[in-house]
Amino acid sequence: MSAAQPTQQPGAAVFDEYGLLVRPPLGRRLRRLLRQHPLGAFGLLIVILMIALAAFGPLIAGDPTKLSPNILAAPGGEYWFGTDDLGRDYFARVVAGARLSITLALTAMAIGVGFALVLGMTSAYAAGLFDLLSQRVLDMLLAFPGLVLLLLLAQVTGRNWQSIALGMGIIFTLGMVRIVRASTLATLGAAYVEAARVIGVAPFRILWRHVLPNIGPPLLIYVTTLLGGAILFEGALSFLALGVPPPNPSWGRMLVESRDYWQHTHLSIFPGLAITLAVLGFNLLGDSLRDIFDPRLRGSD
Amino acid sequence: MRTYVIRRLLLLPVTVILLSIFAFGLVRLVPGSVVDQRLSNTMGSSAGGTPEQRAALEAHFGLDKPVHVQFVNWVGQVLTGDFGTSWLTRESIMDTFARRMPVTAQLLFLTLLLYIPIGIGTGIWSAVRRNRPDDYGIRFVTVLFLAIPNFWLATLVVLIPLVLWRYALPAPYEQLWVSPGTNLIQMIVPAAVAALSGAAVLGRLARSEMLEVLRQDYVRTARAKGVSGRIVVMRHALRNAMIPLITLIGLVFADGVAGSVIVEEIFGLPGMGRLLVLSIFANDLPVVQLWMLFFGTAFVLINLAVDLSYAVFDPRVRFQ
Repeated sequence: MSAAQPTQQPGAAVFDEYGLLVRPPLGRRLRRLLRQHPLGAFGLLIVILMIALAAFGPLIAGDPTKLSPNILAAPGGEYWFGTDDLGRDYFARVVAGARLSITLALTAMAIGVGFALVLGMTSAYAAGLFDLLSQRVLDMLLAFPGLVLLLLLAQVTGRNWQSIALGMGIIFTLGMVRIVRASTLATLGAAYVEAARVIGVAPFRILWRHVLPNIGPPLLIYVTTLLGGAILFEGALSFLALGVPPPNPSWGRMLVESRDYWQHTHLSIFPGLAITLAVLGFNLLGDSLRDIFDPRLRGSD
Repeated sequence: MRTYVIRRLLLLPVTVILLSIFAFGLVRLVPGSVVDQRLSNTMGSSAGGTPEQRAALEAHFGLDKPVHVQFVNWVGQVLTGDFGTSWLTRESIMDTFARRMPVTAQLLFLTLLLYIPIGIGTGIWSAVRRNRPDDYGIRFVTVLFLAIPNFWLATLVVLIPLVLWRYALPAPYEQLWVSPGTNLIQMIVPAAVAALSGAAVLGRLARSEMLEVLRQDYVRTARAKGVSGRIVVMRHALRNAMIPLITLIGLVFADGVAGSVIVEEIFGLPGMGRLLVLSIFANDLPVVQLWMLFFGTAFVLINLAVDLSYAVFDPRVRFQ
């Protein structure tokens, strides 16, 4: 087998001797991504930055709970974002807020995807009464705004971050079950699934080998946008004082606490900017993923 | 069409029954009960009262009976128009709702008044002027407003006039029929905040619907036979794009209610959203479960109306 002949034009498709598309090297794929989806690449950059801050934040920005006599210092100098009413470094606190938001968002998403895959695929495969009943329950729950359900769930499960992640995960499950169920139904009707059934492939194996790969792309797009939603949810919950309690820094709680010190505008501006940036990152990434996986919709919004 | 309507109407009671079980069951899962709270309030923090006091309080709140009996009693009461009393304020819940509902209704009305024209207007503008500078401008602002949380926007709206001009919105809340001027200022700012946050979602959907319609064959035909651009957009495209947008009314309403929870809290409006947060805080179960039942039924009814009107407007759905 001879090596693929590189063509002259950079970025053009390369074919091997059988006329099959050769995957270009990673560097070129990244450059092409950057050129075709600059906003998506920007979103990806923000997302990576946020995850890095969540993982290594305190190492970069210092201890968010260390008190100092410099209370309510303006931004600049030693304190980039100033200090809060207890003299804590506001930059360190904003960075530490990323840890809570990102951890919550990712955990909630993992729970949601897990629940939705099991429920949605079972519902579509089992059909009948179970499907009908679960669809009615979903319809009813989806009629409620997510924030309202989350307020109630957070009260039931408690105010530690694991409970809130579970509550958010349940809310995300509701929307995702529909996508999983619809994709599963569509795939189950395909001829190759019928063929697999005929030759006696076990139901679980059909779901795993044939259905799951088809659910991936639509779910991935939905999940990315929901991650932004999770960050907004965390902020709203903390803002209403129903979120994770102190001393863990949370962007939403920093915002609500800043209202007592309105003269010190830096206290209200930085946490809000942080939320906006994080949500923007996930949204831009999600939009580009949709363009990539669903070319039919390209440029339509 | 008729079987579709009948089937949907038959499913309605099923949904409402599920809703009442859900509303009742969820609040029963909340840890800690009103009895503990009352006892610790009156007896000091740790005493917890004598068993007799506990039993008396449980009997008073009807908590001594098994859960299914409590549920049946509650449903019976609601069906006969007795909505119970709040555990927190001991006021009749009917009176509380009657006092707070107009605030939220006015807020929702003003929000939708701004929200729908802004959302649909920018969406259509952006679709018609696709890939021109104004389209990019609108899309940029839309993406930005999708990311700005409404509670931050509200905070800034309060903060900026305060810092720049030492201006604060008049407080406390005044009723519309007592002092209309003050009331309108107090209401229009929160409504604008809620509307701007929501309109971004609507605008995006309106744009993609409009683009979908603009690439249909009949639009090309109309253009080809020389119909002017404005008429193509207004008569051929917009009318057909509006049909899918009807389905968003349910979303719009749910969004508005969620927005009112945040906005009423920040601007100190005594409406239903604030009531929910207060009651959740205070474990005021009768209020929370009735709130859920009330708004849940409203959401379900609106979604039903939307689906039915969709079937009326779109013959493809009707004859399925």
